[in-house]
Amino acid sequence: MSISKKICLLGDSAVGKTSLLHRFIYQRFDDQQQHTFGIHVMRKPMSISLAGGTVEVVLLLWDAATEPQVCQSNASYLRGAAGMMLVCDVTRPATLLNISKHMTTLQTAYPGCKYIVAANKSDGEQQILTRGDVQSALRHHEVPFYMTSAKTGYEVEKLFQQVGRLLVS
Amino acid sequence: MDPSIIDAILHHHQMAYLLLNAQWSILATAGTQYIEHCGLNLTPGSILLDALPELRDCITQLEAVHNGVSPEFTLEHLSRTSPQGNIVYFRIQIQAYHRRDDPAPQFLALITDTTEQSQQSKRVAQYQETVQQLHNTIEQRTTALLLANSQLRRMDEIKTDFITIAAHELRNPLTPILGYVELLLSDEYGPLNAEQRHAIQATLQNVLRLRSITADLLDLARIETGRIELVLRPTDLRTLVELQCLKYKAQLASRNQQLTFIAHALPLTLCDEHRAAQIIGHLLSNASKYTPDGGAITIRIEPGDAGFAQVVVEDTGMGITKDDQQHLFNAFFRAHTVTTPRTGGTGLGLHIARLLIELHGGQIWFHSTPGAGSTFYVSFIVSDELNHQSHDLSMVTITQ
Repeated sequence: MSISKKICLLGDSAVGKTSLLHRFIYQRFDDQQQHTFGIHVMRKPMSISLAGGTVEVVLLLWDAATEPQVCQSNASYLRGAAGMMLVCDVTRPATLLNISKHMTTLQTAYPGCKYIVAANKSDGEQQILTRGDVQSALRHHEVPFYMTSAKTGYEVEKLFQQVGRLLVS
Repeated sequence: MDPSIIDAILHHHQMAYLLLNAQWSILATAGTQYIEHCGLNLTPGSILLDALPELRDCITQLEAVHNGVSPEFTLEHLSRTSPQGNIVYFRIQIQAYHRRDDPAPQFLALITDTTEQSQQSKRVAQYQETVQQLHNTIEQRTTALLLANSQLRRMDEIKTDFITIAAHELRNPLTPILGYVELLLSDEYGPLNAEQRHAIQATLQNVLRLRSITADLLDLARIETGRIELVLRPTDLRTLVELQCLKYKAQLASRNQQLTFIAHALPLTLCDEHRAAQIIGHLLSNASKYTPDGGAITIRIEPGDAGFAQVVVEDTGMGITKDDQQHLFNAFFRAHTVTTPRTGGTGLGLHIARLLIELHGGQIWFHSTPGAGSTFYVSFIVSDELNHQSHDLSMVTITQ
């Protein structure tokens, strides 16, 4: 019997939230990904390897056109979430600032949640933010982060494996 | 220090002191009576290397102490067999000793009985070995379990693939069959007599049933493999439930079952319209199946726990036995009370409903009393949209 956990994706528009999910679930990338309307919910069963063995977990992944400040204005989206994945775009430094700015509010409003950050689009010449920049911006929050690329698949599997581990640990 | 105190210490720790000259000859002793059981001849005048021949293999280290290169030398785990036949362990430590009144080099040797310590070390080593063996056993079993788990997962994938293929292959011919049956019923191929119409109607019912079964199987495969995506939007639960009531109206009327819809004023809820309708449809269909002809079914929408609205479907059927209750949401489970063809099914409806409501962020649960009916609840998250519905409480009898 596996356990199910709701994870909400948050981040500015066009940072690649839906693309990350599609890469993780369908192993595909759509360069012309459309803007997300409504709340898209996907389901992904996973096996998480822990020191004591393997745990089966089902990730219920919620994806919406929502920004980090939604915790006050869109509580229904976050209701019942066990984890939150905050996504920023390494070609747009403002998206990382937004995450950093609202992280404390989220952690205060949802103290029982697990948090993880994906610094997405880490794959090309347009990349402005480095691993050090992301680490520095998140230094006060004690949140794990991954430099990811939905386009190439770089670190995407590891990111979600870590989400699973955080949720079952 | 008072010699009696030194004596007490030597006695307590089972140790002896030897004073040696540069030729390792014993000049004086103290406390040797406390290590006599070690079987050592340590009388003044005798040579230490004769009493402990093991030291002859350590001449280099002894010379290092002799020359002042090393401050001391220790030899552990020496052993002798006592007259009683027990093995006695001891340790010797040798270091330089400088006397103010005699410039000739002298050395102090401290001999300590370490039997108890050695036995403890031996026991610890044995425990460590046992722990290591247990660790190895656990590791082997974990590996075996991981392998078995992986094989089970693979078999599960094969099962899901088989279900998907079988359901597709079963469903594909249904579309033309259904088309021709509908054409026959609409008299496209000439008028039907009553007997023919009855036979074709029965065919239609079974084709529809088969289509519903294949749809359930395909849904299950899609959900289990993560190939399903819901789109939640602020939805008027009242309209959604009303439409389902109308959909099942004919089915309920054919069995003279009374359906009553009670709607409390509710805000919009987060629903995937198609899948939420499927959940409510499953509950209504189940309620009808397990309620006798002429029985009553009530469906309500009302506020639930904070932030949730709920749909409640109450029947006056046979109820669910205690044994069945714990398996009710399992895939392919069919309650033992299902004995007549009328209550046939795949046992997937409630399982799929549970998986779908989970994707909505809600829950499904029930209360049931055998012989007195069941009440099923499903909860949906209330949307934050501001255009709340303002309907007052209403009660509508859909069928009677």
